[in-house]
Amino acid sequence: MIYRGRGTETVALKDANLSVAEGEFISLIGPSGCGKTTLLRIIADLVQPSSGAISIAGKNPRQARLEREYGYVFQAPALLEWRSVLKNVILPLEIMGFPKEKRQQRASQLLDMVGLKQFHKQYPWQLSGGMQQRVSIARALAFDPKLLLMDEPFGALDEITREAMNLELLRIWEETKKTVVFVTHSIPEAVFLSTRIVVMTPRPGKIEKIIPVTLPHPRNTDTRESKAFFDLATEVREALRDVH
Amino acid sequence: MNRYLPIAIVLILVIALGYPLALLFGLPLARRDMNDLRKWDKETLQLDKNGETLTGNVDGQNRTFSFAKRIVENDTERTLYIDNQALIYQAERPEERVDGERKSFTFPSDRGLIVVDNQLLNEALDYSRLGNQIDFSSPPARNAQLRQYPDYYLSDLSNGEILLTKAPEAGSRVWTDRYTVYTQPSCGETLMACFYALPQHPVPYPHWIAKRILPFFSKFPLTDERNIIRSTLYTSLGTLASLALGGAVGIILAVLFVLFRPLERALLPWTIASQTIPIIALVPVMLLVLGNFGITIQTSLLPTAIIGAYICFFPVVVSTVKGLRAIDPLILDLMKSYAAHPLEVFWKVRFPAAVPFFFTGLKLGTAAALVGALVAETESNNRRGLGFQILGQVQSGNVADVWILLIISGLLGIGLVALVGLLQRLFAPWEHI
Repeated sequence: MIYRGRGTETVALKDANLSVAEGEFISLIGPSGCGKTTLLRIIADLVQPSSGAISIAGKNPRQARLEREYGYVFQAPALLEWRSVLKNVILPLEIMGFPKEKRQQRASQLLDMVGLKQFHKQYPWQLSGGMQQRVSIARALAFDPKLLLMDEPFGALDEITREAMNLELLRIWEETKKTVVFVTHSIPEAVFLSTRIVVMTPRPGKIEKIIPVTLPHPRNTDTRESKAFFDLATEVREALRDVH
Repeated sequence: MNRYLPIAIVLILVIALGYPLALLFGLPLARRDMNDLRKWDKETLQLDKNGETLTGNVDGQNRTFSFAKRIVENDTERTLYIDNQALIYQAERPEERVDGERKSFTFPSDRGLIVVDNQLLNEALDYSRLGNQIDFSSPPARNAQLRQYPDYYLSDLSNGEILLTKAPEAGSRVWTDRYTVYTQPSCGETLMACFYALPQHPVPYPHWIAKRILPFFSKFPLTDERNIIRSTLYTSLGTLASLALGGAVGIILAVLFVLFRPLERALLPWTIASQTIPIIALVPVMLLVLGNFGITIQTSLLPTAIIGAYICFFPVVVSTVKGLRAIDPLILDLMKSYAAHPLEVFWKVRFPAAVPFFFTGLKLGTAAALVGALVAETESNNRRGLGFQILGQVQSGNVADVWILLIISGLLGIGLVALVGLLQRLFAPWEHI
C-alpha cells in the first residue's frame, strides 16, 4: 500500500501476508505508523491497496463491503449525535432494509447484550466514553456480520474502563462466535483478547511475527495475573523491541 | 429568584443610565434656551424722577458708560441724559447713495460716531470731518449701511455699554429715566429651571416614556390599521414570512451548492454580491417591479417577505452549507462500510447534522429580516407596520414615542430570535447547551 502525496510517496504497508480462520480473534499490534489501521481499512474496502489481493470468505473487499460481510468499530464511537442510542443501533438495519419490527427487536437485544438497555432513549452526549463505545460495538453487531473489524476501539478510554471493556468484548465474542480483527497499542489487551497476535513494524509497515496465544478459555481477571499471561506479554514486548 | 434577576438588572440599568443620559442630552438644550434672548421677556423700566446713573468715570476724558441691566437694543422708549440735556439715539443716514465709489457724504448733523455695517469707524484714521461732511480715506463698499449716531452708540450690547460722541465734562451726570431691559428668562432663572421647562429632549426620562406608553397604545382604536398592536403584529407577520421564504431559499441553495460543486462556484460570488446592495436602495426598485404586477404592500405580505428574505437567506446559506459539510469523516467511513446510497448519506447524515447550523444562520437572519420588513414598510402611502410608525413619529418629533417604538422594535427582535430558538429546540432536540 503506497500513499501518494505532493511529490512524496509513503509506503504504508508492504509484504503483509495473513490468513485468518473463522471464529478467530486476531490482534494487530505495533507502534504508530506501522500500517495496522491501513491494513484494517484495506480489508474493509475503505481504501484500495496499490497492489495485492484480499479475500474475505472468497469475496474481494468491495464485494464483501457491498454484501455487508463485516462490522467496523472505529477509534472514536462515531455515533450520530441526533439519534438516540437505540436509533444509532438501528441505523445500519435501516440502511440494509430490515423490516421495522425486526429492527427494534434486534437493536434492543444488542443493547441488552452490551448492558445499555435502560439508556436506549438517551442521546450519545449523555453517555460516558466507554458507554458510547459499547453502543458503537452493538451497532457493528446489529446486522450480524460474520467479521468484526475493530480499530483501537478502547484507545481513548482509561485503563480501568478499558479492562472492563476487554472482559465485555471477550464475553460478546464467546457469545457470538464472530471472527474479529482487532487493532491495538496495548500489549496486555492483545494478549488477553486474542487467539493470535500479529506484531507489525513500521517504515515500511510489515508483519514481523505472529504469536499464537495459548491461554485457556474462558479467560477472566485471574488470567491477567497468571504466569502464562506474563510470559506471552514479554514475548510480544520483545518482538516489538527487536524492531527498534 | 434567579429568573427575575435579569429583569431587575435591566430595570436598574434603565433608571441608572436613563436619568443621567437625559441630563447629559437635555442640559445643553436648557442652557441654549436660557441664553436665547429672543425668548426672554422684556420690561420697560419707568424710573423715578432721579433716574438711574450709568456707571462710568466722569472725568472729562472718558466716553464709555454702562447700563446697570441687560438692555434691549431696539428700544424706542429709552432716553439718556447728560445733566438736563437729552441725547439723541436715532441714527442718521447720509444724503448720498453708497455706491462703492463715493468717498464724501453729508449728514444732517455735524457731530456723531460713524458706523459702517455695525462697525464703528475711527476718526482721523478712517475718515475726516468737515462740519456736516464726512470724507473717507477709502470709499465704503457698495450698499454698505452707513450711519451717523449724533450723540451715542451702543458699542457692546451684551454689557449694555455705550460710547458717547463727546466725553461729558467732569462733575456732570450721565443718567436715564426709562429704558427697556430683559427681565426673567421665559424658561426660568437657573439652568435646572430651564431644564425642567424643556418640553422634551433627545433622551427622555424613563418616566416620561412610561407615562406615554398607555396613550401611545390607545392613540388609534384597534379597528384602525395604525393601531400600534396591529402594526407590531403586521411587522412580525412580515418578518416571519421573510424568515420562511429566506429559510426555504437558503436550504435549497445550500443543498444545491453541496450536491453540485460547480453550481456553488458559479453562484456563490453572486450570492455574496447580492448582499452588498444596500437594502434601502433596493426596496423602491422591488416595490415598483412588484407593483407593476399589482402586488403592493397594502394588499399583500409578499413584498415585505421578498425584501426580508433577500437579506436573511444569506446567513442561512452560509451556515447550512457549513453544516452539510462538517461531517465527521469517521461517520462517512461508517456509511461507506454499510454500502449506503449517497442519497441515504445525505438524508440520514448530512441533513440532520446541518439542522443546528441552519437555525444558527436563521437566528442571524432574523435581525436582518426584521430590518428588511421595517424598511419595506417605510414605503410611501403605506400606513401599516412599525416601519411606517417609526417614520411618522420621527417626523412628528414626539421623542418619547420614538423611544417607545425603539423599545417595541427591540423587543420584537428579541422575541423573534427567541421564537427561532424555540423552533431549534423543537427540530434539534439532541443539542445540549
